[in-house]
Amino acid sequence: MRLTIDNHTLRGCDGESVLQCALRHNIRVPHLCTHPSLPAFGACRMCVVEIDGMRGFPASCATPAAEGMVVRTDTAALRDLRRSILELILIEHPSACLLCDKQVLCEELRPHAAKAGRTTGCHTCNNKDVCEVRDLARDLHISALPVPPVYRDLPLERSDPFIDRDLNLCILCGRCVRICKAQHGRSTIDFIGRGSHTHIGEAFGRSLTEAGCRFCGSCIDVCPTGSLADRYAKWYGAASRFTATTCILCDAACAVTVHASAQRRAVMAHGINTRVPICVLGRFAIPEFLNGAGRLKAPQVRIGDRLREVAWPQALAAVAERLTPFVGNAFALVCDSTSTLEDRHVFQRFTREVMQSPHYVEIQPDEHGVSRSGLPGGVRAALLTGDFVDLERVQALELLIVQDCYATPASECATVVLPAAVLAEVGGTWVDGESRMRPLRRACDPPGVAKPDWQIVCELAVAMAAAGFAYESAAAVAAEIGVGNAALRIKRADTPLAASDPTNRRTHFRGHCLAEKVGGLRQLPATASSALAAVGG
Amino acid sequence: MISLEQAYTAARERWQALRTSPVPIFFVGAATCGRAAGAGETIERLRAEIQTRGLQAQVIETGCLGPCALEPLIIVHKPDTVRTCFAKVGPGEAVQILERHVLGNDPCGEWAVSRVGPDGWDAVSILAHEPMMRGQVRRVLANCGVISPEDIDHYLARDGYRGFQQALSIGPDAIVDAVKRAGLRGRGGAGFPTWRKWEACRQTPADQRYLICNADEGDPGAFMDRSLIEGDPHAVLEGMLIAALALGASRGFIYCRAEYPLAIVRLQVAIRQAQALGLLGDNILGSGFSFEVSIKKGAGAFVCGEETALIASIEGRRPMPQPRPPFPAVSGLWGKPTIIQNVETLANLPLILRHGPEWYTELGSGTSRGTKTFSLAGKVKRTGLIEVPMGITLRQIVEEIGGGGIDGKAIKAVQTGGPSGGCIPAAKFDLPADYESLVAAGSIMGSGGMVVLDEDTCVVDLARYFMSFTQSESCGKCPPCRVGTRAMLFLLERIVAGKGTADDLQRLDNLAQTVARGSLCGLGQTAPNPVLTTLRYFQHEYEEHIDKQQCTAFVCRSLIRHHIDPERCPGCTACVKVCPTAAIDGVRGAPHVINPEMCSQCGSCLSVCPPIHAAVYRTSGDLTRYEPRSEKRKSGAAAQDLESAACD
Repeated sequence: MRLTIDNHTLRGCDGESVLQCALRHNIRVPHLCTHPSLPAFGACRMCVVEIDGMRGFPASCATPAAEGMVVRTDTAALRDLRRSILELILIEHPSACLLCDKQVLCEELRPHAAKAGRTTGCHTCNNKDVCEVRDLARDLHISALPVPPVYRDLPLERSDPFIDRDLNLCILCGRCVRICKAQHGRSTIDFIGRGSHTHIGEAFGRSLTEAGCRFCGSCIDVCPTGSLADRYAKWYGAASRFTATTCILCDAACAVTVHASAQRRAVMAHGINTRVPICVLGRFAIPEFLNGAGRLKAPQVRIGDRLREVAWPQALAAVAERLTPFVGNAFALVCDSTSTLEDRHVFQRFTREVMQSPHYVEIQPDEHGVSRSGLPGGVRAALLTGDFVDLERVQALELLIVQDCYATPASECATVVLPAAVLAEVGGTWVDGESRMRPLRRACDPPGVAKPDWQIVCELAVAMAAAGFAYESAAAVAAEIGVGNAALRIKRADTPLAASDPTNRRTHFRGHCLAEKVGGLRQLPATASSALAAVGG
Repeated sequence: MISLEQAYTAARERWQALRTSPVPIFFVGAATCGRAAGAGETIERLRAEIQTRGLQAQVIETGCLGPCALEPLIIVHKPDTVRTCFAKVGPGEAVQILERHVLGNDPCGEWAVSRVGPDGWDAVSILAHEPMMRGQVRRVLANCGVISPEDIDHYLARDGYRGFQQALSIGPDAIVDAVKRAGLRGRGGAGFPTWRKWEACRQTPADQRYLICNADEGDPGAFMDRSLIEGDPHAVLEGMLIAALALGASRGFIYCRAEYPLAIVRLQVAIRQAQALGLLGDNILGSGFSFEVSIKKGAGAFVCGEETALIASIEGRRPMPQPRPPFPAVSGLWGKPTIIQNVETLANLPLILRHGPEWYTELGSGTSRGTKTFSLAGKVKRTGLIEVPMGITLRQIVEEIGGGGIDGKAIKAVQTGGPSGGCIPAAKFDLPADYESLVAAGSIMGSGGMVVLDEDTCVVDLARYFMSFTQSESCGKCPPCRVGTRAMLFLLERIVAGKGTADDLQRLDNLAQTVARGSLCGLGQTAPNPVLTTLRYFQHEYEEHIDKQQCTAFVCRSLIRHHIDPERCPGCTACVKVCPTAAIDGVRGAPHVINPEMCSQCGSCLSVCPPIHAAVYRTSGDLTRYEPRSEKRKSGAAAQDLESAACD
């Protein structure tokens, strides 16, 4: 089908809207309520166009492209209308900064938003760096409003986990309502009230948690303003690095994009496929877990009766020296199968070849991610890569090396503690619940001098004068084991179980209770509480 | 089940028996309007009285006869006497009529409005000579106030469902052709040709089609659809049957506002009766055509009158309009082709089928054919439900049928089409009431609300009222409507508060253009009409508010100042006693003075100042107004007006 947009004759696709066709051909048409992952809504009226033979100013997002259509997207009348409509939108949105005559100077001096309890303008808005309303206001040269703006003066909503909601900034584009409906088939949130009392909310004044929100965070991802915000990420500003990797917090292995700050710390993660929601863990747990205050940042060696931070060479030398007497059956290495293939290969080689022990213990976590194990009889020295073994058994060991991401009661009585990089901090290959290879890519830096597991163990082997452990990278390890192609799980049609029922989510990672590290999870209902009780969590 | 023809025979016999009834019958107009005026108590009292006295008499509830100003209206059948119509009959009057007229020989002239001539006893013929009735042609409303809406026999006796039988015999194509030749246009507001909408629906291949009757009458001051359903529910059902047959729809919904409980009850009764006679259900009258109707109650949102919002509401979603295309005729309720017609449009269908399109097009002008019902309300002498041929002038409606202003006040304008319509000034009253002329004047026909404004109505205040209505009824989806109406309301409130600035009118006009051109649905697109038309015809009033701080109609409180004329005030202290803000100083015997700092302009002093003194006067801008206090109208005065007019 051929149609004419702004004097260009273009080829249109079946089922495409005029707006989609224009955007596909790089014709810029302002739009706000339209979102690539959502059906047309026609609410914001910014994408109005003139079409020959059609009355008035149809919204191009909701008008199907048709053969022979003649469309104009940029006439004086349209510019005026769009500007007037955006002025109306800005009446209900704290827009003082957009209209301020000191705006240029102010933004030069204060390029990033100042952290504030309540957002009263762009200068205190967490969304400042990525705001679509700001961009439009600039494009359309908004300089004054026809009547004074109205601040709704609604209370900030912060009682739900993970999501901050400030409806005073909301422009009622309905993206959040629609994405929730599209992804979960239910109206957890919807428009409420009419006229100037219209707002987004849950039925009967409930909270998100009470209304059965799954906390997939999709609403935050599509919100064009700062109205919906990720409580953890909101003040980091625009991320500077975006890396597609795999979430390994459960077997579903969803592909996620991890946002990293300029300091290369994880800020936020969200699903890559915007049509299928991911679960609360993939959306909210990764950065908070990685940036937790209790993360192990440097190697520690017990000197006297205290663990003291030392440099890697000293730590590795200490481990090598103390492990040597235990070569043979007295040594065990315990890990769980959430480690990457590369890690596990190196663990196994180290146990068998360097320590000459048969006791390589790889735990299969249960459905909640809980990994518990005992130690084989006769074991007097162990290297634990997580919180897997009961404290009494650990205390009975003669030598305990802990190589982990968080301190635990067990690590408190270890001889040496080695800090490990995890999740989005490491690259490698992972096997999901369907036994498919999934790639892990390093999206951010680990805290302090923490290193990937395979690297620590390899360096340890080298320190113990073992040959064949001088891998250049995880890829070299992968090449040795002959790992095949690993592809991100992007085109999934099904929703991960935990995303459709958050009470089914995993509660543990590497033996650590996630809720202890990620505050918001404590507020979520969990049927898995019995599992927590079973392990004394 | 008895056959339909047997039912017709029985119905005619019953109807005839009513005409020649040997016992007295009280026909009481008991639609919502009548009940609001007290018809409920009148009926109760009559029934109680008949029972305690052990009389042989009947009380029959009918729909609305039209003249609201005369409610409660009753028509009394007394054997061997001319039937008489009585106005403003409360319970006390009813008992007196029973005693003096029915049992005695006193015609009760103080309440009697009109008498039944020898030619017939239909209410229309009784009242036909009245000025309010003279200009009307009651076709759609022919049964309203005449038959019992809860008795299908009454409807059948007056050729009910004959139009549907005719439709069955000619088939869908011929129905559409008849509707096309009759030039029927939607009575809900926009006046879209009905047949064209039907054609779009018929041409869309589908396994299921729906027909929806839009009875979500939401315009302030409009009550035509309610009265029609309450007075003649079977006409609506018959219209639905005809439309459904033409469209091939097997399922119908009546979307009726929950604020119309009586209309809903009467529809439910009518549906049950039609089902019992085999006029609804499977294989109707052996024709193979099946049709079922259910009632969906609306929860009171003005926007539900918009087709896509109404569909969303029936589907159980939030009623927010959707952009078109697709049009509901192609993809509507649950994605199926759906036709939505207004109550009055549907009630026109039986007439077209029964009498033929030629008869139908006899009335009307240009492309507006047939009749149109209006609810005449506001500052007019004879308010009520009327039906007139399309194309008669506004002057005929307001002056002749409505009787002009109350107490001889000058009519300033008429507001048609509710919040989506506009104000048409008295200077343009020679405009014919048809779709095109009203649009050209900046208003719309709308569903038929007609609010008359007189010199005591401030058009700026009126525009403010309508804007506050649309503002609070906006669904909130698109910013031009949600925020634009709010911004316009802000400016209007500023103007009526006397704080308007010189460029506010330009601002108001700009905003109106944005709202009209940018809004998603009809509600928003037409919302500025009241402002645009008043700006167009009454710009001087806006300017007076802004420049001179003057409200000529003495409505905008912020622009009015109360004063006491020291030469007239004898110092009776009546005003001093009622003043809620203690703003009036004065001792008995000395002229009182209003302290302007403390006065809230509530007008209490004005209302208590004895008419012989009339010392309180008001000023607004350059105007000064001494209020000649209108004498309290005696009860029955309106009836006497009508009666005297009828005797002319």
